[in-house]
Amino acid sequence: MEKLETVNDDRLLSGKHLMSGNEAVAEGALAAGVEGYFGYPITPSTSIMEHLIKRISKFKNYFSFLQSEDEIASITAVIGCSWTRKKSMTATSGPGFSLMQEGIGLAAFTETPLVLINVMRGGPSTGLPTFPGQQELMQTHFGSHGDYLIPTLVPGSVQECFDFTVEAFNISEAFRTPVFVLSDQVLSGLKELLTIPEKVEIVDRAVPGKGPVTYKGEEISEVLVPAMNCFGEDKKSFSTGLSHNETGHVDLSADNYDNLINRQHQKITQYEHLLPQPKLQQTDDADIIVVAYGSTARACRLAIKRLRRENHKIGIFTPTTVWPFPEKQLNEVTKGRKVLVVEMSIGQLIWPVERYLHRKVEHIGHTRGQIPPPSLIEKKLKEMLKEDNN
Amino acid sequence: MESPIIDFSKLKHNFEKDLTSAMIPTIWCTGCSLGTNLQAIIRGANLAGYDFDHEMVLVSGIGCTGRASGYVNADGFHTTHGRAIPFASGVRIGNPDLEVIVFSGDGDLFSIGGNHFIHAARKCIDMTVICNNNSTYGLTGGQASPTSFIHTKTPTTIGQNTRPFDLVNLALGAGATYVARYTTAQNTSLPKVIAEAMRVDGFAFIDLVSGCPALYGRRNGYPTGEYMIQNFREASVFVDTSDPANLLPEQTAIEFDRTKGYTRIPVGVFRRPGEDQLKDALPIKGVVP
Repeated sequence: MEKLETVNDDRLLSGKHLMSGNEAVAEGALAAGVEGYFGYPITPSTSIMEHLIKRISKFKNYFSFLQSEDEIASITAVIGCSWTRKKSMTATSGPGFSLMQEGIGLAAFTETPLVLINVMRGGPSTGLPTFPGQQELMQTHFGSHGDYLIPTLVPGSVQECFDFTVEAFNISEAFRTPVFVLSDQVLSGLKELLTIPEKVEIVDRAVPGKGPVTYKGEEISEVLVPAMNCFGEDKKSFSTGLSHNETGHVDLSADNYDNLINRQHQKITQYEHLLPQPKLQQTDDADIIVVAYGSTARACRLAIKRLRRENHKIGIFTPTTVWPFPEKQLNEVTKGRKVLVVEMSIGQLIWPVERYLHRKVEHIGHTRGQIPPPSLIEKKLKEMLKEDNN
Repeated sequence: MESPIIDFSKLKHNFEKDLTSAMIPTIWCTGCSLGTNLQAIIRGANLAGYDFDHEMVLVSGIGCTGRASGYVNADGFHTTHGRAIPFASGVRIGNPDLEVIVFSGDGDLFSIGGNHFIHAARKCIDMTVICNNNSTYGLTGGQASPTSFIHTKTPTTIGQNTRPFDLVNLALGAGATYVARYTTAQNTSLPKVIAEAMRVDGFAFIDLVSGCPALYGRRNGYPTGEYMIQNFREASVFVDTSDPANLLPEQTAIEFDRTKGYTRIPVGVFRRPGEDQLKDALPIKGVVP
């Protein structure tokens, strides 16, 4: 087949735009250099695929795209595409995310860079397709069988949808790992001002023999993150979902397996400081720290703003990377302070919070298919303050 | 009598350069058709002029056949169960300069991966799919597969099996560009057929009828590889596919008798790409201006 000529596509729409979260995700992917998309329609993530198609159909360059027969096929095709050294992604929501778990395990174990956007809706099962939820936090960590750790970013605004998608691609390429972005139904359709910068920093995965990758000024160890031999290149490229050695071939020995899964874990934990850091707002003088992420954090901020007017000292800790969990930062901020966890789930975020703080904390587990109303959060915080005064 | 110790490091194979020596010996049992079939694929790829170093990607699923990708000295991937075709679609669409071959078993391609097969055929994604059709799940111990015959015994058979898929008819119905069926017994003409399928611009499928004497055959009266190959040779009927009557489901199905083994295996090339075939189903190559 003839080689296609490379021309500059209008990937980076620099400037200010009024865009929805899903459109911002698609723009972020394009800015980061996405070259492959395989997806299956599912509410509320579909508009990512639609926006991307609208944009790439005007491209002069080849773009790998296929609407798959199901989510299992899309995630597997994304892995296939990534092994041709193309930055690849897919987007889905709850039920689709459940179907993708098999492929997620394969991607993690074969160290395949890819980005998966999960626009969370209410579950379980078909649940609430058109209402938000935050019930997939644990699934991103423990959804597929076996031990693996996949960096998971959680945007809380349209701007962050863009920024974190770019970041997700960079992380996936630098560390040769799948990366999740957990958006939600509210963000998916919420229109806000999005500023796309003139220039976006892009990281490309290591090429064998060409030296290590530098990410955020730090050289990434070639031992922890081995360079990827991709299909069609000089070196032979092979991998398997079975336990494998450095050549990619089957090796089921105890030593090899032990080294393999521990290295895959360590490559993420060792560079945890390079992942997006938690946002601390008004925490310095706070008596109570609210822990919330995504669109729920927006409601919390409003409640805090109102209470601050009444001179109640409340701050908010917003994790932007949920896995690996920002354990150290949370412990520092909440030392000697009361903690309230707010989320759209009976209780998922509270698990890592209590586990890492080694104590019981207060909780709002809002399960009405909506962002918890600021008034509800305000009421809970006031109750907590009252207990203080007693 | 003590069994002779074979020093594999001193043995040389005819296709040494095309095999991953470090992974040999294979996991396959004595009498299994897979060795012959894999050699036919390697011969076919050489005949088709594929560059093993830069061009060819061999993708396989899970099972005995799944291990094949690890034995060939070309780029390859051993995917999860049933997902060889979606992975291959990703590779083919990701880099259109690559030639993708899927080699997997009947359970992998048509039970857990059945949905992917019919859609890849319908979408006419440019790849060659070769099914090692031995009518059983070998690696898990010989359970009934979607191509197990009704009156055969497997550890998961209660009374009788459900009726088997006719893979040729399925592929024709799903819109595959090229459809052929051969058996391991035709190992001399097989490379030419495989090479022809590989050169096809579109979705090419070969139903490669194979034997699993160790697990399926043993329970059903044909315990050795030799017996199975002899059975394939005797039962194979070359079909004149220029006559549309021969493409009817009754004509393409494999017939099997509990006491005699395979009684009729229609073999040949059932569909070659014609202009009509490709008119509406252009091979998918991503978004190109």
